[in-house]
Amino acid sequence: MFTTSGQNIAWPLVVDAVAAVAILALLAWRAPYLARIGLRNVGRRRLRTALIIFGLMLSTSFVAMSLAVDDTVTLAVKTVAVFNLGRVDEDIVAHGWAPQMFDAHIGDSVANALGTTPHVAGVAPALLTPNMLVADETQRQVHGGVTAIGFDPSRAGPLGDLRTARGVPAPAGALAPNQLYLNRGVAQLLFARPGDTITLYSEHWPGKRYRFTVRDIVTGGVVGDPSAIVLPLPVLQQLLDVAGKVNHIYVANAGDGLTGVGYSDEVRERLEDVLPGELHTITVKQNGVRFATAAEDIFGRILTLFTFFALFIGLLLIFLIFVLLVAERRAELGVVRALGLRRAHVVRMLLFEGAGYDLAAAAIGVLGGLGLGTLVVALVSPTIARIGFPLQISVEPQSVVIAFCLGLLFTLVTIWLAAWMASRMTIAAAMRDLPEPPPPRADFATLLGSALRTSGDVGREPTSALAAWARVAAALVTSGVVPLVAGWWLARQAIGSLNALEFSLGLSCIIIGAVLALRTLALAVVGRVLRRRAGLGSVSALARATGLADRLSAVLMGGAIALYWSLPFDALARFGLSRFTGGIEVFFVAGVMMVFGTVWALAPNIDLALRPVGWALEGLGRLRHVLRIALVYPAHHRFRTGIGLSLFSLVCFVSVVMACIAASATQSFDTIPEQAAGYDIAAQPLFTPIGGLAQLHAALGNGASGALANVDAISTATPLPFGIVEPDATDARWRLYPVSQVNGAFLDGVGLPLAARATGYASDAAVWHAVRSQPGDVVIDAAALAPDDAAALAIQQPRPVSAAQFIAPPVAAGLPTITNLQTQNAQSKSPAAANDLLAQIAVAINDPDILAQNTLSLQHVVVGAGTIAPTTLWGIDLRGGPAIKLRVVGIVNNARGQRFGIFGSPATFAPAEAGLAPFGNEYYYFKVRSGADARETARGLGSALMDHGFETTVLQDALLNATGPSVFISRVIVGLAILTLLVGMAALAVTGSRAVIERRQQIGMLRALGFRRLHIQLIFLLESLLVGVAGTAIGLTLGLILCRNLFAVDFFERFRSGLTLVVPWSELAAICVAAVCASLLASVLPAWQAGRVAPADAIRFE
Amino acid sequence: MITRLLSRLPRKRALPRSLGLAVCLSACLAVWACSGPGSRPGATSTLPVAGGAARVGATATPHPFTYVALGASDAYGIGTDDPQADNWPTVLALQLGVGTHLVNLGVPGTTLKQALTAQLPVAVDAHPDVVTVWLAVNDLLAGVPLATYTQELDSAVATLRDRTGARVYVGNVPDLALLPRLSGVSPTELGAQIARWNQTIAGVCTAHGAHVVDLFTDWSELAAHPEYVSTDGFHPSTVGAQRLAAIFAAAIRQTPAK
Repeated sequence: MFTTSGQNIAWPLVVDAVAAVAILALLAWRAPYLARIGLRNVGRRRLRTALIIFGLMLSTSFVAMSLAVDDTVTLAVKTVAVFNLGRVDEDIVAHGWAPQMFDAHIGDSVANALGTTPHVAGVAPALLTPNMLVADETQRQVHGGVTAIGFDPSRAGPLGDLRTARGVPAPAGALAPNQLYLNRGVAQLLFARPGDTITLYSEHWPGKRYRFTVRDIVTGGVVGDPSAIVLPLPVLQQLLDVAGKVNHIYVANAGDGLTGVGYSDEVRERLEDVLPGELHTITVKQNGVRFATAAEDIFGRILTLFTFFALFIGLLLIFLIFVLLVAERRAELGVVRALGLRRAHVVRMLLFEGAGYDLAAAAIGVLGGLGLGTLVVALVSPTIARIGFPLQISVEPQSVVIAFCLGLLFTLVTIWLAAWMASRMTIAAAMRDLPEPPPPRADFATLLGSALRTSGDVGREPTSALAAWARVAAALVTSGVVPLVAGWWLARQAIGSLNALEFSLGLSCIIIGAVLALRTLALAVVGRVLRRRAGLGSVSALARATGLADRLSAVLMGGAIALYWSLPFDALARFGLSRFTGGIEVFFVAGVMMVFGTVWALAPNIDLALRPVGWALEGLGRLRHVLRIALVYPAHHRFRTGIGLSLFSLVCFVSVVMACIAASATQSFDTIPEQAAGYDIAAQPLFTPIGGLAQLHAALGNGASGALANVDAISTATPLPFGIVEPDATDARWRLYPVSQVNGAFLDGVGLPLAARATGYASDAAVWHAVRSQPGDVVIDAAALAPDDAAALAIQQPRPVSAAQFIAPPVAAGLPTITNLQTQNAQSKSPAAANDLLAQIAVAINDPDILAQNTLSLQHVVVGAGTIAPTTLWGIDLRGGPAIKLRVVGIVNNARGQRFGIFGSPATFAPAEAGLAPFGNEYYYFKVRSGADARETARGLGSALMDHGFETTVLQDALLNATGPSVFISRVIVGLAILTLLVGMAALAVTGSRAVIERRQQIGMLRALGFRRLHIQLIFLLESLLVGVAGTAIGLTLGLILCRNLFAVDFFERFRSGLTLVVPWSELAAICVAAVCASLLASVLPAWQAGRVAPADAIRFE
Repeated sequence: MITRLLSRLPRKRALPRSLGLAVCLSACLAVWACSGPGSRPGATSTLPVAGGAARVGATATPHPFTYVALGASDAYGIGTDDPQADNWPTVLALQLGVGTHLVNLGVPGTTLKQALTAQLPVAVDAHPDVVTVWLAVNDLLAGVPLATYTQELDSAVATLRDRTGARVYVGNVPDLALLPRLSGVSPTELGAQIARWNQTIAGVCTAHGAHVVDLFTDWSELAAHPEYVSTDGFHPSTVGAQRLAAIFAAAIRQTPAK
């Protein structure tokens, strides 16, 4: 998942974690009293400890969960790759485009040469014939695109280990000359059973057919997932008239199907010395696993992005918990300091306590994360089971180690940081729980002088010298010098390496440095002027000026950073800078910087931001005091409010980003019914054309008991190779666009919903009436619209038209089982020229850029909402024939990218097709009645039209097969988004409950002043609501901006994901409502706790 | 004799008729894929067309001046660096003025007979002001009988003149012997054949009030400008397309609208 492999980071992490624990142990050994004081708190209050551990374990849990899900998916994807290839690891073939025949005896020499290698388990010379047409005479079903395999089982080893569904061995040698095995895939498509009679058709024996009997249905061995049949090798050689020849030699490596991949390189190298020059080795399984892993990369990227955010949210939560913990004990720590402990001791004490929580949290977090991962996998498993995706929870041991060590180290560092920051206290103020006074100001020269003086005494007072130099360094940072220098250096480095992240971070440092420098300069000038004019009053005036400068600089720095990181990632290129490059981490940093920038600008000025709310609440009668106090606490504790706000904003932000990615993935992949356009079965005659709907009805009969008994609607479609010109277009010339002659339910609009109608048509029905009855009237899908026109109609455009759409039927185009060109060509009754034509067009249009330049694009046709001007087109069949005039009267919605084309009636295209041979194939679509079984209906149809070779495909199965892994991805992302929100709620509840403890005295004071329980509870609820609303608004806005940037630079397109941004407004609204409700719900427990505080106890509380 | 000679040539229409359009379109797209953006010289000067808006028999159209190009691969832009922008009708349209609306119906590999059914109806429907027709070379090389060609050309020009009232400019057959691809053909026999075809073209044009663009004469400068022919030795290059456009533009300029 991470860019560095798990193996590489596991050991360094273990070493770091052990070192960290060892250092802690050493410190505890040197000062055992500090360790005792720190650890004593761990066991004191069990509920509090449990809450803290829960908060701390979240980051570890997120990491563990992501790793678990990633491991599971990786294994599943690899297993799918292996499953597709059977036990074949290496494939030896002759050089050339199509596998050439060679002498089967070469297989013996290969087997002899590899016989001494322990990593090879079997060698099998094999003869393969693709694109067979298989007809099951018993079940009366037909299926094309089947591969026939015959292999020599004598030294095949695991390659010959075919098994039946019951696990019984089914050796290839047991096949009689008239028998064959079917693999599971083809058996399912043919509904075949052992004993069925199978007839084989192939372009290799035109006009002939051969009958066989199914001996059994098998898996394993040389048989993978794609449709295949196994015949005795001599029989297949005889059918192909290639006695003694084969065209493949399969090699199976030792180990199981997956682990054997590791030996592929060794086996290939060994084979290089053995094979004759005309043969070479393809490491098919290794390639398959690599390809599958690369395809999974997109998922890994999304998961990595999520993990980064989740880890950061977890760390922020840890920080907040510790800040609250220290705040709760401020008075106690003040006493400890007064008794003589130094700040370093306090930090160490807190660190010991934190380490206690940390060790427990990391262990529990790993278990929790694995549990969550299992939960996510279990949640999506039912969907995945439908597509045969072998999903089983799988966690690599190194993932557990990585999660534990990462959680431990990150938490420890965060605790140390929080302890160090919180331990900075004035003893007197801490003991009396008063606000921390501002730190004494000293100019740079004074600090430098002090540091130089203490350096002379470094032998005796090393810590003083260190502290003095630290103050100098801090002064250099706060005056902007360090950020400016660091920023300039980073930016300069980045310009050389074109690293986007480095450059952006450098620029951010420069922004911060510049503002800080301005602030320092302005304060110096103001201070000098005030001292000269106001004398003694200058101190308070300078304090006011400093406050103002702090507010202004926060707005400037935070605002500028949020604004910069919100810019599109190629924005700098528009200003003439080189195009920077970066990975997923850029988006993570951008997200964090956007949120922090916004909160940074807002938090110091939150009192000002809340002032209008206060004014608005003036008229609320008695409750106004409650409301005012609810606003005072967040405004007073700005740092803590800022951290809380950041936390909640990030939770909302991540939820919004994940929801958008999930919606985009769902739109692209998870819309099976929409992609099938409401139809259930697609079919095509592979032997002889049926000739249209009337002939289909005649062949099937319309009776209730016939094959059409369960069919609601039937449509036909015939793709035509057309050139199109729009004479009124700006650049009027012949262009390409898919054209389909349709009939039946298509002409009633079933499966072709309209997005716009031409003027003069009152309803969709009127449009379809025109298409049916007016030759020349057609509709066209929305992909043909120019972007401006699509935007004017508020239509979401699909991906651009691709080569497959030109030869495919209009619905569910691109599915392998539906547009199997080879099968079509082998069986097509069209003249050979038509096949050449297909090939020529396919070659020309296979380049997306060329295709895009030559694709029809309708411009300026939209005249109003949902209305277009009737648009004239002319079309010609590219095989010849007259031009026909077409009039576009409607736009078909094609958001899912499955309805490309110009659709017209047979009467429309008749003049252009007169005298031409039928092009391609006829496609038939069937919509099955509600409640009827699509598979059984498909079987009935195939059986009834067996004489035409009617191959039926259940669309849902085919679409699931094609998009299954992507569906899985979208489901997991949705699961993660929901989980983020839930965890965010839990985090708020934890922090809210800590806040009650810290403010126990304050609550008691309010109760003593006359505030009722309800008032106290209201105060807590309102405070939480305030953070909830502000965080939701920030998260929503920034999340949408990041998503826009993420998709604008086609980040996911690098992985050919086909994802386009979809903003799921309804889901986002639900997230916002859920987040606000979550903020209220999360405060219910603290509010209830606060209401229960007894005034007398609370006031005495220490 | 000439027919036998021509039959041995790598003719432009060497593929079956049914495949011609698609294969040439494919080839064109492939050429396009290989070509860079290319420069587009010659696209700057414009030629004012008198009476551009005065069209006869036009129905309502949003375009002030419509120019339709009937043609073959040269009109489509095969041989040029950027077929979409460098084809000669596009260059000519730019010279005809800013408001000119071009409908380029050029289809690679087409003959006049195919154009009668595939291009002519579109041209008539576009209500053009000016039409250029250069559809002779493919027919000549394909061995179409002159009588058949004459009949088809007569039909095409008559239809254009009668049904649109547009000014029609018909390009005749240039001296094909100057083309590298036809270097093996006897120039004398080819010249005689071309002369007969051009005489026929001139006759048809005169009969219907169309104008002949004498490419045989004007394109003879090809001998001194080998760069006018693309690397395939047959189609005009980008520079050649500009020169062709200039020749047609000159013809149009000489015969302003009445």
